[in-house]
Amino acid sequence: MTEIPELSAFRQRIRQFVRERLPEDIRRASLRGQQHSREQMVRWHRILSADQLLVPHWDRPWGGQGWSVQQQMVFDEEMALGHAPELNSVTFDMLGPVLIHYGTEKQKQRFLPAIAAGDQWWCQGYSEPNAGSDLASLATQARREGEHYVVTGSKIWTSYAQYADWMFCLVRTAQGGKPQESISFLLIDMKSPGITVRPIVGIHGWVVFNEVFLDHVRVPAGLLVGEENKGWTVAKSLLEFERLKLARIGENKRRMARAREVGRTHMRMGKLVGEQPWFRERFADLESRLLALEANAARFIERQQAGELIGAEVSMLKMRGSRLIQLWEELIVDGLGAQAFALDRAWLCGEGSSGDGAPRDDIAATASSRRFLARGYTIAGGSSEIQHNILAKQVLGL
Amino acid sequence: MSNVLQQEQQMIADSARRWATQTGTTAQREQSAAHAHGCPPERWSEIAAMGWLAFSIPAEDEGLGGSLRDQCLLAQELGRALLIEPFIASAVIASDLLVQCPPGALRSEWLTAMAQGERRLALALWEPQYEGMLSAPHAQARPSEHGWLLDGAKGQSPGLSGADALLVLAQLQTQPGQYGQCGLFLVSADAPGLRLCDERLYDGRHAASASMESAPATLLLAADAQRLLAMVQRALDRGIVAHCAETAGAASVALETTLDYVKTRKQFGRSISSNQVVQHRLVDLFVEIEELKAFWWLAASEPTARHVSALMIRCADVARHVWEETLQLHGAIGMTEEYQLGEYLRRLALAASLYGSAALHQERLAAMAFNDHTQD
Repeated sequence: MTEIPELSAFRQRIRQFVRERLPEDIRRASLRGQQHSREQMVRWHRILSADQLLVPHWDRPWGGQGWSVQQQMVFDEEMALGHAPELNSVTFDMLGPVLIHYGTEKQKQRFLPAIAAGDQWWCQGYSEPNAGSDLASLATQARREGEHYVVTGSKIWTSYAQYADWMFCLVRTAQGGKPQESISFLLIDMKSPGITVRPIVGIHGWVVFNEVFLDHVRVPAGLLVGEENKGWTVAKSLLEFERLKLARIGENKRRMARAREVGRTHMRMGKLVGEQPWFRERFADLESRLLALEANAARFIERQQAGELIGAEVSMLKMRGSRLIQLWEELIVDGLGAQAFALDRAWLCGEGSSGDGAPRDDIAATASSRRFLARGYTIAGGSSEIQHNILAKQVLGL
Repeated sequence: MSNVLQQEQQMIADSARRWATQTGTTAQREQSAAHAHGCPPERWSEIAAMGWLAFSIPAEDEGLGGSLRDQCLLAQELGRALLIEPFIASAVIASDLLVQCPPGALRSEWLTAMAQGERRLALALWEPQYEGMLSAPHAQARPSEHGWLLDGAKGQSPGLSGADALLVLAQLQTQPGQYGQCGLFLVSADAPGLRLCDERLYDGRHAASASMESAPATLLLAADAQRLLAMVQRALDRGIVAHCAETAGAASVALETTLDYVKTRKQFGRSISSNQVVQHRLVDLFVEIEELKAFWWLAASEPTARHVSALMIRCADVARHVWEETLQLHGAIGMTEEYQLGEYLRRLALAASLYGSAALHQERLAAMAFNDHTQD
């Protein structure tokens, strides 16, 4: 697809920015697929923020740039291809827009500038041991006591809670009833007394998930977002652009580039992997899927820009984009074979390598961990089964 | 869900849908398929009267100078009605190849006649046993006092039989036994020495192989084989995009038919559409078809080799998945000749490889990623 000249110039500008401003240690960690430290992430947030690039998709008064959806997609893509870290979407894509839309003036003033400056890290407290996709079973209670809510319960699968300063949380404020009428959306300071974070080591070797225990945590009533008992409306209000982003075109392209690199530089059985028919066939098949996904996302964008409301159909982007990432990761692992068998926890976290300390292969040393990590895409944020249900009921009328 | 259409595009789609709904009946299709070469002249005239054959022909040759996108939009609607007549073979591929030829009286005469549906042209795409893959011609052309004479054979291509003339590539003889350049020739259907072997394909369309023995032909363009093949590739690529749009149309109807069926068919006291396993499988088909529609739309705006091959890979995959799944979800009724779905199943099964297999396009795409070491 030929880009219009303005978009192409914009792409060049972003590309140059990433090339010049992304610190080498952060670039190297992404290139190697290692987990970034909190310090690295915050440092990158601040660099982006200094150039007004951390929250370009927000409304203008809060630091937004008024970009078109295409520009925003190009921005994400160039970030991924330039080896910038994937930004914490719960902070920048979910909470920020939610506060802009539903927050009180006081809440906006307190949180939005801090997030836009890159100073604040948020985590999302939705899932519980007995409430994954089914939020009607939510058990964490928030009892009103004067000017406070007293919150007791536990959250699980809370990504990066170990890094977070704040958590936005769904809590039960009324017994029984539909989830639409009994759940509230609350902002909780992670330093509050009564909060314990228990890290959960994943099968990939990283700590991404946590369990968060809340024991009589006192939360000022002014940190309620939206009306009491109407938290479900707030939680599912992902704005349209964020839903388009769930196609994860940039993240898919990042993986395609890695798979291509495996094919071009790694040998197996005496031959470059990219010269082997099975690898070529699977690569081409996935590339065709990615181009089709991109075309489909472009069509949604075109419709949106033509003023149409994007309905439940948009679920298909998340469904396909998340699955495709997994297929790329599987191809990478299969291409590498035995080179991807070893597990070196220190290397995974960017803390040098165990053994003699010599650098490991950029792609192979984290490939297996990344393939496990990628399984989260089809589970989190509405599992693929939920997306299927949405499309079946709301689009196909089944 | 549709693409965002301009007003004229909406009109194209609407009129094609109306025509296709009226004339796209099983009886009409059987009539066309049973015709000696799958393209009754009165049907072709009817299609011409709609203006559809003039889309890709430049305005100076009395065409409409339309875009590939518009043609594809039309092809998608014609695909919904399982058009038997060789719209893509003649009005997309052969037209485009002739349009690419240098201006001249013969080219103008033919383009004008084609735009009006007075004459039909088709390209002998493949070499024998190389169906699906473009390759350098083996047929030979030698000069004689009455002009060029062709000898050789061509593999089975859609649209050849019943055409008023064929476009044929052949090697040019410079001296006895010596060949240099190649030529693109126009061979009249009634040329002595030309024999076509027509077949009715399993979806009702027709295709033919050709053999030529001292068949007189008119040279349209002499050039090296690479240049001529690049021209044919361009025409074929555009044909593939239209073919994918057509297939998306056929796949949509197969899905719609199945959705209706599962909602009404009851087993164990409830409609089979209430089973989640059935719902999710239908959602997968729906999403794949939507992606295919979005993808041909994009590829039609600029049919690069990368997009065309990727599109054909998707198209083959979706076509196969749709025919297999819609048949399975119907159960035994889907296997009968009399139930309407069957025609769609056969069309989709053939669509997966009519213009080249997925394997071929996978290799074409992979070569771009792994053989070219300059684009790092």
